Amino acid sequence: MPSYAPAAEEIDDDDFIDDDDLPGPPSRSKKGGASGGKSGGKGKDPGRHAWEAEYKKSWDIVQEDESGSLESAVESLLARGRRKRALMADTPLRRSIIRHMFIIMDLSESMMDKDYRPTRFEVVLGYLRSYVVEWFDQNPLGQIGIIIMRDRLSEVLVPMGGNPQEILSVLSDKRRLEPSGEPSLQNGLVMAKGGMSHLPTTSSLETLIVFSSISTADPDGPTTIHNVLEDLVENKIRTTILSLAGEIKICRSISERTGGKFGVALDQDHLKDLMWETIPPPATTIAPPITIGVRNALSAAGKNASGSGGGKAPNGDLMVMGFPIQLPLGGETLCSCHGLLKRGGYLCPRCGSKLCDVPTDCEVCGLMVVSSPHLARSFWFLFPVANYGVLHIEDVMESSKSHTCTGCDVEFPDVSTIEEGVAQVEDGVSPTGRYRCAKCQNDFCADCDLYIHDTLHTCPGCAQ
Amino acid sequence: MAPLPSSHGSSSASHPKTTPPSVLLVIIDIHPLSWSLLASPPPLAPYPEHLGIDKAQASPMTLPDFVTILMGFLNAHLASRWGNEVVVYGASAGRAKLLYPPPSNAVAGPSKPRSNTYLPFQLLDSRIEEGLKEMALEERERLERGDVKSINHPPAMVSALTKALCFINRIIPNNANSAALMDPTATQDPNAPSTNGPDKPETRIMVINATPGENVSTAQSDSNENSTANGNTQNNGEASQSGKGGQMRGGYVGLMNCVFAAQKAKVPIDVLSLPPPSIDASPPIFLQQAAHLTEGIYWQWNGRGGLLQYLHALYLPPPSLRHHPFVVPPQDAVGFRAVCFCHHKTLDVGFVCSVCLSIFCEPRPVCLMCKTRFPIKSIPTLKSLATYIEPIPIPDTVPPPPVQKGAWSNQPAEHNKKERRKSAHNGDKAEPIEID
Repeated sequence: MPSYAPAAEEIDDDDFIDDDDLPGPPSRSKKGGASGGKSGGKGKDPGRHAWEAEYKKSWDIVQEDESGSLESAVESLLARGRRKRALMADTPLRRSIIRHMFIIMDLSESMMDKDYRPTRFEVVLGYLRSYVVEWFDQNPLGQIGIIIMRDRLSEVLVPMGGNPQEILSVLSDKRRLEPSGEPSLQNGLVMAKGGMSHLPTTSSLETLIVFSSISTADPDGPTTIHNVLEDLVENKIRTTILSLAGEIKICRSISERTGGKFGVALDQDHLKDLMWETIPPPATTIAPPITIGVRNALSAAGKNASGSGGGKAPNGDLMVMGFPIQLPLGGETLCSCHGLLKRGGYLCPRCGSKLCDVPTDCEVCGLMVVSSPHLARSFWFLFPVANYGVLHIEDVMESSKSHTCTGCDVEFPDVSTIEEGVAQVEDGVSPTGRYRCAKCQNDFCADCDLYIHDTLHTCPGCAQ
Repeated sequence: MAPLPSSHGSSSASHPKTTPPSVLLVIIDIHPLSWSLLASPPPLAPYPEHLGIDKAQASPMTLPDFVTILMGFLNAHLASRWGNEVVVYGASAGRAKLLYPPPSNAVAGPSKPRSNTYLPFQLLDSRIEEGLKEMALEERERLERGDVKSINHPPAMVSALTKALCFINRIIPNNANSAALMDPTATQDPNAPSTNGPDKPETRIMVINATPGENVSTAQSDSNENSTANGNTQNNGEASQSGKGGQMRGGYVGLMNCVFAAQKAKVPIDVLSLPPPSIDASPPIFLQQAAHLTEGIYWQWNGRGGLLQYLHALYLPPPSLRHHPFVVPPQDAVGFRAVCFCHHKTLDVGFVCSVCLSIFCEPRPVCLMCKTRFPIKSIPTLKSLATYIEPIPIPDTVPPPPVQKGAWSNQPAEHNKKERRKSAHNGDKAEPIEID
């Protein structure tokens, strides 16, 4: 229902000129004819273009080879991952670790389109749930809020917070999230900007917009979306927009000018890839604050970021942090933050007062108290595992130290049984199934290679 | 019969009809020095101030005794459900090895199946015995080669943990890792955790720690852990040298990475710490953290026997039964302390780079990890902040925390508290930094 008061507005055509360079637009015009003149919603006719029309079953991509084995297909998928990782290896070390992100979700009617199975809505929601988990996994000191756009309104679904469980519980309530109406990009962005206005520009402020519609219905008034864009640039809010439909001019310019990324999802996998690309902390462009405490940093609100000097290498500061002792859930004691009798809690290492939760500033001595695992989450950025090299048959012949994987102790295939050049697998995949760590010269199987680099971040050989 | 499924999750959670088969991965610390200490505990409790706790003499425990007890436990685990499995890793000084199951090409079975023994028991027992003997031989060889330095390495817990996690990943591939190979829609139900199949085995890791002190964390500075009796300052230089090649990473950071991977895979890490309080005044806090973070059980043996019964009572129930109908033993206070990157000291209060979150034990002008420059003018302020930090007295209701409190005093942990307090103010200068 267009219940939005300031003149529920037709779509302002200037704001979304489709980029005609893409292969998309011609099809869209045809499609527009098919789905009727309704501007917000648009169905996709099957059979038009590969990238939009047919639902690709992922199991169709996987081709069996002559012997009926899936191995080669699986290996090519693995190779893709390996190459991607090789590119990631020399990412910059400086990253904004304290992040604040608003996820703006388009809940317009177009989310009910069935080009993603079962619907875009279901797919996006499902991805968002795992996204949030993964995001908090990698950004333990970050906070996420969620804003939805529907019926030309925007609404803060979850205020900025650091509790993934809360977000997940809201996201799992589908009835609250029924898509309807049209989205208003401007309202969503204004809402996000407002929600982050109290935060210092010294932490990384970001928005991630999953945009499904091809139009936005913005309020009529003195401010247009272009003004909002200026504000975003000024406030250094990095905006990443992922479009499910096609390239939209205003979206592209918003993301480019604010330093974010713009992406058009080709299919579900690609959407996931695009979303997951935003999980690792972005390289720092903004000077971190001079702080002694969380609260100081927040109250300073970026006013003192001047010390950094524009454009130079970012300055940092040392923060004094205390690592508390967590009390067992024994008897109740008074906490210093609320003055209530509570079980458990944490002891400030400097003054010994009891705090209910960390990370926080100690109420008594002002020490920033964090639990060390919070910090340790980010350590794998600092000590990345070197990529493993591929071992060819002759390498193994020369120097086969062991017959089992150093990680999981699975046996490697016998080298003598591997024929030379079996359908020369893609580069990046070892023909012998062995991958060698350059540092410790131990061999690993493909599974362990993936697991060690994606999840574990510690090489079993080097740890010895 | 189970009650009506009033709420989908709870009915199956509270009254499981059967538990899934369970895979138990045991990591035994077989560091020779630690076991020699356990076999002949020092006569006097080194911390007379904890009078109430440590009065009784700890009974000696030798490795053969313990292995016998452990076999009993492992056999009980095998016997308690069809499909249960055991994997055993041995962690010795600086190296870790899979002891059981044997590589499939090695032995098909025992040469002579005994008719009166359940075959899996016999396989397990004989193979573990063999494996332990092999490792002991290797240790002896190392000693004979005069490779004394490597003997002083702390047990390769991290390596064993990574191996165990890789093993788990192989038998139960995690969704997230093999995402590239899976139907993307499968990720749409993240609420259904790791219980895809009805008979998908549960896994848990059990770490049996025999090395006193904060061994795992500070991979090298603790290489002198076992020579606690004599002063060990001269060891420090040598130790940090040996730690140059990524040992630090293999220590605290590696352990933490393992913990997070285990959390992700929902694998609890149980920790049994053998050195009784009379030997080991400071529990292995990083193993304790690991147990806490992965919802495993941490327990320290009191050195007075009954170990087999303790093992059965505490560690035998699979994770799915731990909270209902059983109860996890009350856990101690957990010190969430960290290790600094510059000197590998355990810290209560540290200096953290705001850019990369590296932890240091003293203010410094440039971050070692990300090379960020810190404003010089703030260093005196930070220093002054640091000097006021005193060890806090822990209230009596809380079990005594790990001893080391003088956060950035350079003294190793095991020594006289008073000395350390004094030196905390002297602000002793650090030795050269070993980070590559």
